[in-house]
Amino acid sequence: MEVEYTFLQSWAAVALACIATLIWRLMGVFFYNKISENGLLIKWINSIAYSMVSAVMMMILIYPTGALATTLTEHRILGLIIGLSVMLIFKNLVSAILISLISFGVIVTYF
Amino acid sequence: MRQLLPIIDKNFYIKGILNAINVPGFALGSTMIGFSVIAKEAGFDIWMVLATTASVWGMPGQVAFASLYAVGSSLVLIFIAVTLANMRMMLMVISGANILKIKKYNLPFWKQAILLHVMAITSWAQIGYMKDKIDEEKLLNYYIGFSFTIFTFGMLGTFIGFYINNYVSSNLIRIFIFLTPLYILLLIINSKENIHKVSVIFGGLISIVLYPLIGNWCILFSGILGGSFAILINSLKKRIT
Repeated sequence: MEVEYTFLQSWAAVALACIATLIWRLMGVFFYNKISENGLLIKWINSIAYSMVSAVMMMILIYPTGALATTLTEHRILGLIIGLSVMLIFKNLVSAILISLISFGVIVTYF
Repeated sequence: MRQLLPIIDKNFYIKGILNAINVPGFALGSTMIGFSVIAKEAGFDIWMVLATTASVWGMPGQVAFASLYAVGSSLVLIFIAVTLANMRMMLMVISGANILKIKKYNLPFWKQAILLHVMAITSWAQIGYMKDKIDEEKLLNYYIGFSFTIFTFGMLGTFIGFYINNYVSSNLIRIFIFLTPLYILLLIINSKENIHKVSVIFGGLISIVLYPLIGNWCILFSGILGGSFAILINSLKKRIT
């Protein structure tokens, strides 16, 4: 692949990506110090955070990029369903992860 | 010499390290192997890949950066895309700081910033899961041990990923990358509080529907919609009972 950036531009891109992240983290620290620890606002923010993290993970599973994109969506969903089912039945996180991961490995290798 | 970070109970700090050297560490390390493979293909050198992981420390932003770099996008576009991809971090930091009750330690702003810089989704989900199992005042020690170990695994994964692509089968890499979303989804759906379970279900389902319509904006909107629905359902339920 032909890279069109100079050395300086490449590092400027890294610095900008760093600043683009730092802004949000610092704003998070700033606002956390301004709001009440037990109010409705923090409950709402917590709920949004749970929803957003769930959304990010579902994006990785349903609309992936990179190596995971070479697997079938049905296989990834099946792997997740197996994990959720094992956890609901046995109430054990590690077993659920192991069984789901092994099942996913078998499915993507042999089907 | 004054301690940089408030280590009060070493047992919980070590417990955090040990819990990280387990599924979470390997899951995150594998995810970063995946990122490193993408970044190498995009034209990054090893130092750029390591600097990106260390400073951005958030997979969606890192992938957005590498993808745009690969096609030779302008620096302004890279900045805007990474800024938008990382918007969610502000809410995660507020939520994580609230779970850790950081205010009561009276730490200066820069120490809070260091502590919360190493907060990845994995460590946020982990403290959310552990907050009911560990005393409130020990949770920060646990978090410090856990998150800095996770960070080390992430850096190692990034380094290894840059070089192992030629030696490890892509099948193995994709199985390991599957581990991170699986682990985190199972952790957060396991939350003790029903309001959070409802948030997880709504957020996940809404994002699947919204992504084809609004692309990556779906993360922000699914979060706001899912979280608000959960709050609404919770308050309605309280009124009825």
